[in-house]
Amino acid sequence: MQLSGSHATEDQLENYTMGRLSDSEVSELEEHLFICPTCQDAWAASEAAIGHIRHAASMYLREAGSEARPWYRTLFVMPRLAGALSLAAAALLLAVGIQQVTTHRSAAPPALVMLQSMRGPEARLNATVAAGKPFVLSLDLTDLAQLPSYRLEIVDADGHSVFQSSAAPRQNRLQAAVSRGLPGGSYYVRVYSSAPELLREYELEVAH
Amino acid sequence: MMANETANDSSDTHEAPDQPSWAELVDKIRQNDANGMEELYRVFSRGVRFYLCRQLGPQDLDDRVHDTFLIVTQAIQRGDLREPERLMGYVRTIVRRQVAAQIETNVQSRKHHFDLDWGLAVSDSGSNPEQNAIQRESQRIALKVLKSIGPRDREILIRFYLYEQSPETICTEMGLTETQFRLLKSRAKARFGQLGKRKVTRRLVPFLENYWRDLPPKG
Repeated sequence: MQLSGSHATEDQLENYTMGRLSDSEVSELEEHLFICPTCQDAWAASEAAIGHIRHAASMYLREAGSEARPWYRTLFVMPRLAGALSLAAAALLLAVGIQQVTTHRSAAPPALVMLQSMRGPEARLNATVAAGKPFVLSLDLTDLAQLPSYRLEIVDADGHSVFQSSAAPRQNRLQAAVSRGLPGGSYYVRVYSSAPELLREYELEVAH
Repeated sequence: MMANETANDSSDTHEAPDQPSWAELVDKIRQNDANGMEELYRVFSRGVRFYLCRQLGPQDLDDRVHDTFLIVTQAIQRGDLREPERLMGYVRTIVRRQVAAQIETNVQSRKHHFDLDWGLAVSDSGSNPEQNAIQRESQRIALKVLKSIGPRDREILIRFYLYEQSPETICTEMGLTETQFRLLKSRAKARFGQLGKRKVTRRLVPFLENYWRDLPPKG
């Protein structure tokens, strides 16, 4: 990777933030970041912008999923019919209404929760999810030993295990779907090797 | 070509950093030269400090920077640094080890913390209520901005930044060339940033004024 004009480009800083650079490219860029205040500021700005975009996109998709037409409105769309025809029509509408409930409940996309290994306000902001809602964890594996698969565990504030899974990494990230959601509170997401050896822990806040 | 020029615009206006001769600096430190120590600490006080803060947060930052500085200078004086030109590479190795060790310590202490006393306070991330309030407002504005940009630009941002799809996948699924993708992404991100700046300025100043007015009096 060549630093353009002795500074990192916006693309390079963005790819660095998103874990898309090779090890040698990361090495070269980080050594440059140690000595270049201009690029330090540009990196911080890029990281903040990406964090804002991700969070806004996650919220946007969550809102878009919850705007499906309420199922009960379909019962009042058709005109009333007399006698048996009315009953048959009502039964038909009820069946349609039940199907809409099933479709509506499964249509809302799960929230994507991205957990970074760095600390700071940006990391906490992305590590929040609504209580009871399914979500997908996306964990940053920067600086972790490269393994073919990892074990995941979520523990609550008292250390009780509430979720376990295993997954293979992809592009330096680990993804796991938590389909049932969690009650409100503070949680910790732990990553283990197959040994199992505890490798890393992330904070996760589930909003009440 | 144009996409590259657009992407490079933000960095080209500033001069390249003053890069000292690392070999000379290492020599000075080996001779315990105070100027050499000062020069190296200048690098640590900004660059290494910045990196450690991003990785581990602001807690105990001064101590960590100082510890890392000591490790590096002592290693140099012992003759552990065989290639002086690679000083920054060596510093990076030490810093990353410090980060990994601290993360491991945090993980282990939290694991034992649950076993001992659930009433112990969890360490603060370092952000204060004002920063949190500003962050929340910024996120609210960011969502408004995202809703206000065109659907194609929004889709590119969501695919690339949230779903982390590769440019190749996005180009294939949205019927774009690589150049079109780079241009549109750059434009979408730039519009997002510009709109965000205007909206943050218009909304954040009165928000902050209200925030300070509503704070309870001290004492």
